[in-house]
Amino acid sequence: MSLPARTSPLSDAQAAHAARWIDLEGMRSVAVFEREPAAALDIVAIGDLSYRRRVGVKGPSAAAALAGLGLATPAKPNSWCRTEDAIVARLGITEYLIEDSAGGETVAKVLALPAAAGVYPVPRFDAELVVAGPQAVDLFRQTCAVDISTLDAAGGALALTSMVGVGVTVAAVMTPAGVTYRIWCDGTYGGYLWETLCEVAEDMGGGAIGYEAVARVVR
Amino acid sequence: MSRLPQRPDEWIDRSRQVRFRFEGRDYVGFAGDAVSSALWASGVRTLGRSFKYHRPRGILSMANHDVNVLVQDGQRLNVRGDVVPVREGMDLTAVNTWGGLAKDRVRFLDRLSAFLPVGFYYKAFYSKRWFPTWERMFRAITGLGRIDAATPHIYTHKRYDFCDVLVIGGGVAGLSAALSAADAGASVVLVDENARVGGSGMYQLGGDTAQREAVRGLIARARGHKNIRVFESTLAAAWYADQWVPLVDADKLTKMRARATVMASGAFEQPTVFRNNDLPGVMLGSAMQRLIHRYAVQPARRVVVTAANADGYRVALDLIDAGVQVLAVADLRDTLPSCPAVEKVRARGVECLPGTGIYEAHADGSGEVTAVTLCKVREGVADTSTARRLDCDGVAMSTGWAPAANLLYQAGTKMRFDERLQQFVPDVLPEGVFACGRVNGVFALDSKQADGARAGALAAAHVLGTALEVDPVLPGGEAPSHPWPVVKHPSGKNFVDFDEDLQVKDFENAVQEGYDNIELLKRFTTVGMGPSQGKHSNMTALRILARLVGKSPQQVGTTTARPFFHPVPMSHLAGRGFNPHRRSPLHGRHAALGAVFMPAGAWERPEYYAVPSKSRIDSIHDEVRRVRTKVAVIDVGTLGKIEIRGPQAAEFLNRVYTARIDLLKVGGTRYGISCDETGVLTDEGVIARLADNVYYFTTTTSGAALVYREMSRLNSEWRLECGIINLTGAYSSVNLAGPDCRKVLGPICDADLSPEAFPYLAVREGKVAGIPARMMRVGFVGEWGYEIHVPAEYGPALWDALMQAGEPYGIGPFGVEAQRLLRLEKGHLIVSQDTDGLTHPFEVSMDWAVKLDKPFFVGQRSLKILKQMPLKRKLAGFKLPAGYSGQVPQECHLVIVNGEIAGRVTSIYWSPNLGHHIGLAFLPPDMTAPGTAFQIRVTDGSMVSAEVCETPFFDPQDLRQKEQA
Repeated sequence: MSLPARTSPLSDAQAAHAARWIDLEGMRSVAVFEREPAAALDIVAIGDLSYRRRVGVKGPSAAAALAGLGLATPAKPNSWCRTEDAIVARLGITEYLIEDSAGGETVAKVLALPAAAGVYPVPRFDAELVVAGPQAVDLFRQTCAVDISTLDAAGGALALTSMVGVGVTVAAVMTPAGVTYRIWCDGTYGGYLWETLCEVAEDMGGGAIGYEAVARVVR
Repeated sequence: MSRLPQRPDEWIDRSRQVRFRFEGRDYVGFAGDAVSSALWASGVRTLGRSFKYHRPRGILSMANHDVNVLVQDGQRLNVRGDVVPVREGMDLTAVNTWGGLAKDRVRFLDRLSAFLPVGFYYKAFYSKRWFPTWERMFRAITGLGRIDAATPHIYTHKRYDFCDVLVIGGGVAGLSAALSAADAGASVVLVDENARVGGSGMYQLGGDTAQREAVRGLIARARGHKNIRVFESTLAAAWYADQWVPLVDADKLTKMRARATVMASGAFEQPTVFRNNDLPGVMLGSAMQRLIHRYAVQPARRVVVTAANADGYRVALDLIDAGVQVLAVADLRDTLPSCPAVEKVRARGVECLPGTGIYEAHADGSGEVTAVTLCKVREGVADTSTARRLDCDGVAMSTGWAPAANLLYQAGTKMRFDERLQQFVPDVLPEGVFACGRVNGVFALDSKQADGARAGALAAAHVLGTALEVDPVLPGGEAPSHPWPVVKHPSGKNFVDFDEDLQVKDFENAVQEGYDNIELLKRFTTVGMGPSQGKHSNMTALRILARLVGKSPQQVGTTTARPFFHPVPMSHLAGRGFNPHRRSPLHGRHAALGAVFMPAGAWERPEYYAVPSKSRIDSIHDEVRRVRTKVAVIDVGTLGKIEIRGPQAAEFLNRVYTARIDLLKVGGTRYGISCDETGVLTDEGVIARLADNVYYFTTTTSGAALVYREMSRLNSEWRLECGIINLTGAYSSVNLAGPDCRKVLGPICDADLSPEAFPYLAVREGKVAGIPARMMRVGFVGEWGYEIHVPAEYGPALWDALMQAGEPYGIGPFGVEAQRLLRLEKGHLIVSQDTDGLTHPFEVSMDWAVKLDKPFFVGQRSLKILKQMPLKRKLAGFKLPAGYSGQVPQECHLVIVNGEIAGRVTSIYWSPNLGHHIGLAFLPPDMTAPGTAFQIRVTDGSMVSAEVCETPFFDPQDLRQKEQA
């Protein structure tokens, strides 16, 4: 029996507003929302990247295990770096998050790591949001107590903080469209986070965007 | 009309007229006018009535430092006329009147004031029976506006903001501080509650146009500085730890996080205390200057100034420039200092009278000032033989200031009373907090600039981590405040607190009655407790108390300035609420099945699945019946799910749980409980051993986060070689239960489900519907069942597969209520429902789960002691008689023995399988023998008989978990 379809942690929150769906790496995702603001990306737009495959690794030998796979890890906690087809984020002294870019295979390699002392795999099925647009910082200012504008996109800084009361990890990512923000949170809080951020964004004139629009700002 | 010709820098836009109504009459003002200035310009001088005696009131501070002018604007209550801009179409009424401002029907209260001294209500209206009547009456008389219940909810945003240096106060000192900090490279936010920055530098001119030019220069530089953001009409309402300052503007509340704060908040001018100092037309000197320079309104035509500092003379000069006839400057000081301001006033032909004060102001028929009596005054006592009456329509009071130090107090600043300045000034400032300008005792223009630049530079150095030493700026030579700005009068009505109509004699009476320290005095007299929060009254009250008890102001001290120090609209505090909640990956599936959700910790869980045409309880009983007779599935994804890996994982769990986890075989599970150091039962769950070094276990829904946090803390102490992984959100879990559950699971599962291969309490890893799964054979609800855990992203697929495979067997979902009933039938307790913050395992008959002979586990030492002690209570099962139809006890109803509380019910349900009510209750240990009868007191006070019985109530031999069942 083959694996069934994956379900996005945001699926329940998005289903009623979806105009068209798309399959992304085995996960049904929204391609276009019904009332997607045309100018959302010019104001503030929120998209869903939960389809990306990711895994965590923690433990005193985690960095060495990743290095054994040829994966560079950030030198400092609370930072991230990009490899050929993945993001490697260092969430603590000995804890890492690895996320594949579209079509990446790094996560599969990490999952295949043999059991070893001091290397503890962490299954992760986060909700992942991307916030883009010139007023993205203002959206954070209404929802997060950390000054996200100081996150150094070029330097790969991460913030482990809370937004609207939900524990999140935020990375600033430089894209051709400007700085975008990636937000990871526990999938069970994802629906609430999505709905709340969309509500704030709509107040600002922006709103949710489907994958077709997301793809223009995320690589 | 008293509108002046155009003034430089006036705030009004003469090209835009604004029409509005006040007390039923039409008026016209200009855009930029405050309500008060527009009315004053139209010749209206009685703008409100006082709170207690309903005395007519006019402008006092013109600066939001008092509430003489409180108006209702439709559904908006308590609009402060001195600062709220007048708007086209406003229809305003004064609050606190019966029948309108002019014909207020309770204005007679002023004549009864002798019978209404401070604290009269404490003494007169204490009767319990009559108090509600008095309360209603006083509320009706003294109400501040009328609430319209149909007022729409006003939506206000909250937001965060950040800066290096927050400068509070946009006057000369604040502007200088902002520029200094910004020039040093700090990002600066400058906030000012006024519509425009500039502060007193733009209106306390004394005819000095050069001052205005200098301040204009500062404003222009600040506005153009790339490192400075200027927030006008924005109030810094409080100061919280770590430099959090809420900024309130018309539309929102901003939580500003600064790295340093400069308090350049200035000072509040204080009223002089003399008889009838509250008549319309009597106002603070600074209020007259604001009217002139901001709104181009002539405050009066003939004015007497009462002064005690150079500011009073500058007021006189500004009045003269505005075409006002200044009749005299009555200076409370015995001798007039030789200073330019005094000389200039004299040069304009104004009589300057040293050692003179206003003994009394006189009212005309409408209650507005028409004359004053001047007397020689010494130490507050007037020599009435020197009385001299001057007819006037305005009085300017300019005898002293109180520092706007509320935020400094909140920040933890130690203040000291400077006798020479007659003012409290910062003595020891907290780290990262700086003060400058008037709040720092510095009043002269040049000194304020220097002091601001000093504070700004220090703040920037603090933020940027550079070393800087700057000499303090010394205050000028003149005391800006008079030590005793009070003139006694035998007939009183010399007001100290205009909010509460408090007179000097009220303080004398309070002290006489023993309320002789500042905190008691405040509470008894209510001084400073009105909407002005003591801005214009606390300092004078403190001086009066000091004199009455023979202490210095330093010894008397000040009261606490709690945040927020100034009233803000409730809508700003409410704003957008964030109440995070978690949803299981199966949430949408539940909703589609008609789930009625209930909160369970942070989660939304299905309480039950509503069946059309059936009641809640019938729907729940249907679910129970399905579990007992067919097969049903419940979402248990909300349980905490934690994995521990590593060579010392077993040792770690052995220390956390009371059972012998190290003896658990691979492929097996065990029920476990954990305790805290005092032996109190904290959590429970099922622990599965997946491999030698890999354990996977569940916790209670509400305990998941706490358990993970506590385990992480413990291992940071123990440093055992294992990793703790919280999988609560990463895994979706369901419990498939019922006689037919194997038939449902078998076809879609690759594991051998035979009881030999997969016995009760075993754990297996395999695939269900192609999904990698962990399966545990557990029986929380007392049926053959499997708890299936899969990656969260496959939860819905698993659910769909089970529902599809179970369709031939009548599968359906069951919710939390059915589960609770089913587990109660089995006598299983729920931690935190059937236990409380003191329950230890022996009280709930879990001795079997506690292995006291282990080397160590958390709580072991306490449990060993508790084991030696007699139990005080014990959880026992009980039942109500079959067919009982009276009021049913509820959870937390008390067990009563001989009229005393002996226990309480923790769980109770009617069991459709047993046909009577069953429950758990804490009882005295000697009452837990089966068959013992006891009484439960229900809500209406009646008693219900119950009988202790054995648990489990249902299937006591657990036959349904076995093959032969």
